[in-house]
Amino acid sequence: MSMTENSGTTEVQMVAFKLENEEFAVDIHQVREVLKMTQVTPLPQSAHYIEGVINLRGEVIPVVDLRKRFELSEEKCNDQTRIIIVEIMDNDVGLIVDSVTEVLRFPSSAIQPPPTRIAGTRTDLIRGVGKLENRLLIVLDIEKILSTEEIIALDEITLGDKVEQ
Amino acid sequence: MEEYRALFLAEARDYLQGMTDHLLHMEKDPGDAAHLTEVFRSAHSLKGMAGTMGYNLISGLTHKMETLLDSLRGGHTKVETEMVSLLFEAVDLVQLMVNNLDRQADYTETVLELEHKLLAWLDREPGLEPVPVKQNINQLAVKDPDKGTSGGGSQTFNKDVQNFNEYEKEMLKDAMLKGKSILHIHVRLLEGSLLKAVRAYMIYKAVEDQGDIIKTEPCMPELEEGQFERDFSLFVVGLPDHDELRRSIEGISEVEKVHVVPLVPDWEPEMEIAATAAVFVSPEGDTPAISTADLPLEQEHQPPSTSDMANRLAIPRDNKEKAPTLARAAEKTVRVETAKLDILVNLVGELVINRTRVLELGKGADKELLEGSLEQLKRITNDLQSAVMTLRMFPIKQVFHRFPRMVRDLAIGQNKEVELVITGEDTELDRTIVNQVGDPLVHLLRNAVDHGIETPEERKAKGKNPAGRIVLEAHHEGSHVVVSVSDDGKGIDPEAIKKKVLEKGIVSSQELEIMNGSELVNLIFRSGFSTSETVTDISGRGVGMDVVKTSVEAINGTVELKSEIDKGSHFVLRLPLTLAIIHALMVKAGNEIYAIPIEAILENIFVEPDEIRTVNRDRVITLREEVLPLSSLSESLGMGTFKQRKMYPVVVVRAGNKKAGLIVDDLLGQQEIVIKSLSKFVDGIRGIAGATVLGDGRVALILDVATLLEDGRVIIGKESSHH
Repeated sequence: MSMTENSGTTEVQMVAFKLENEEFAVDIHQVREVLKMTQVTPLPQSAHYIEGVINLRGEVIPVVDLRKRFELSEEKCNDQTRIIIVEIMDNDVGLIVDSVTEVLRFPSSAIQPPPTRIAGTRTDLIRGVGKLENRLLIVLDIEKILSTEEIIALDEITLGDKVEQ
Repeated sequence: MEEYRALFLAEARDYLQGMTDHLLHMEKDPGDAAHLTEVFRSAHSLKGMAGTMGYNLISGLTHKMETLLDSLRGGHTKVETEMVSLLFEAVDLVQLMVNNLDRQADYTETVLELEHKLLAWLDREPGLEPVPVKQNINQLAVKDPDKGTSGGGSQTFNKDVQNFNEYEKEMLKDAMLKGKSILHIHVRLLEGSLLKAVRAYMIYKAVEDQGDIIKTEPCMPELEEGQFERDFSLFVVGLPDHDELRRSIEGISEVEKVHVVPLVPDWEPEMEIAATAAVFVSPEGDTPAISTADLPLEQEHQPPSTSDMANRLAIPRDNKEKAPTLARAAEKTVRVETAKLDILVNLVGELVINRTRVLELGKGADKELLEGSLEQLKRITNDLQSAVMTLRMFPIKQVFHRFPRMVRDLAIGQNKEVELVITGEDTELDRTIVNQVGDPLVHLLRNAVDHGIETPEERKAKGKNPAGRIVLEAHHEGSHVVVSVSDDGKGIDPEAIKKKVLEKGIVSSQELEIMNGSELVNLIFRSGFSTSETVTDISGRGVGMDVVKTSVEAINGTVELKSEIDKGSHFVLRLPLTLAIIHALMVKAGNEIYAIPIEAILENIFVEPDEIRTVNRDRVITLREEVLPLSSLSESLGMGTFKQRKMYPVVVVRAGNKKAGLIVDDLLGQQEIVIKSLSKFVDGIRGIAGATVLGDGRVALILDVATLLEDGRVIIGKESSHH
């Protein structure tokens, strides 16, 4: 996680995005850029959540539909739909999300490790939980999520009411 | 230091390669002194470089090689296979050390042992005095004017000069030729001097004002940091009066002793003559028209071997090709990082894409001007494209050059006599292909030596020349490069192959019956096949020709074999010039556009629904009296279903001897496409070779016909045996 020394307090920057009604975040250092939805060429013989490949200034980059990754119902893309280009394991991969909300600055104290032993939650796929006023953002471990073939349901990576006691 | 190291690595490899090449020539033609000269030169340069870099084991070993080579030059020793092998052993060891620069110490023992062997070779020659070590080219001996005071200094100086790198030596030579003086200034500071670095700097400054400093020992950065005991040396050019110089240095405080020694050259100019002579030797073999008197400095110190050398150079040459290769061609190449080239290739690819786009836009407009400039754009991009592609092109020499040595060693190991003839080594092809063609060729050459060429006795019995001949040849053919490996050995017996494939169950006897001779012989490319009766160390491990075939096909090439009993075998590899841009047929299937590489396409046909029959639930048609199964491309890729239509465009593709008809929705025409690899993240999809970007910016996938036909998703037929 990126930390910025800032007169004694450390700060992290996150790109926040939405899937269904949940808010997620990825470390800004992992994000190369955010694109509007563009034409995707489907790839045969690949995992169902791999939407296909896109042309990013001459480079061919695979894109993953995070809705499909988390077994959500298919949704028509609209003008809010975004592709977040992230770098994982030296490869650029696009993530299709419902919308990108903003870039957030957190004091590092506001990000806590994922709560352990919560029934039904895959805390190994979560890098942390960020609390900001009354918002709760889940910082995803994108690398792990994309490198496993397991089926992951959305409610396995959200906390729902579980944290608020 | 890191950058010098990279440079050292690159150059050391060049020198080692040079030594290998010329050692081979030297062994073949011991009367030709020029090869010896080249080996010597390479060893010498390597020694100098290694010395400068502080790789003392390498410089020590190359020094011993030089000694042995020098004795050859002086005619004291004769070229023998065993001795060449010894020199090769040294080359290998140096190579090993160059590859493991950080673990030099590990090799100390091996080096000493080999050095001992090298020197022992000299002693072993009876009645010949060992040649003194100091007879090296460029080596400068010190003539000490005030003898006695220096106290054995000249030896140290000799060593110092030996450590000069090529550049510094050039400067020394240049100064000598111009009659400038060269001084070695040795300074000793007072014991306990506190400001060593400052003193050194002051002295450096004082000297610099009066002459050109070409070298310091230790090197400048170390001097500046005071990283020396009490002594350091400066080598200065162009100082007439050294007494004044000494006085000015002695005037600097904390200097204990200053020693100024003029260096007087005692080098043998023969190397220069030899190198120059090689260039001017006329093909007719006339005595080189070079007078040694033209060279300065040699009157006094003319070494006895100079005339000797000239005599040997005068030996008429029968091989006219030799002269140009001897002139040490200054490499007209630049080393460029492949990554940088890739970026350039990528950019040009984009430019090509944009060109297509602009051309498409232009179709709507009828302005002549637009068309003109578009035409211009087209021309420029074409030029740029070919220029950039040539950047990636490398002569196949880079692969070929290691083969003479390999074949020699293999042949000696098996007591066979083999002559390797290489032609067309300047044929250029894409770096990637150059890199990947090496392994299959190694396999083929090993096979030729192992199984192709017979023993000298067998050959004599057959009335052949006892020495076998392997020809390695490369040339351009359209957009392909053809590389062939031919031997005049025993060839391949189709009957033996029949027996073998039946034994191993590779092909059924029915299949065998309809095969002609050429098809039979080409069965050796099937996996699990190996004709070797005796399993040797080198080949015949059960992996053989199928590996060759697989690796050649991996770079979009093909391999074929022609063979005749007792006449020999002839392997022909056809390789594409480049992997970055290919010709492809663009087709539409479902909503997507796919590119099918032209090489994989046999023909395009249109099929009407009533021509299609169903056999075992597979769709087939009869095409020129042959049954061709049809598959829908979308269906095979799992991207859609087969739709009934009035007319089906069909692309007939093949891979190896498999053949299939792919039903597509539309044929969009042929075009050049730039291949983009798919990200590692989605790599390895069967049936997809990569992607390309279309004129409108969309991505189209490139089909990999070979894997598509292998997977059984496409119904395949066999290519006819007679056409």
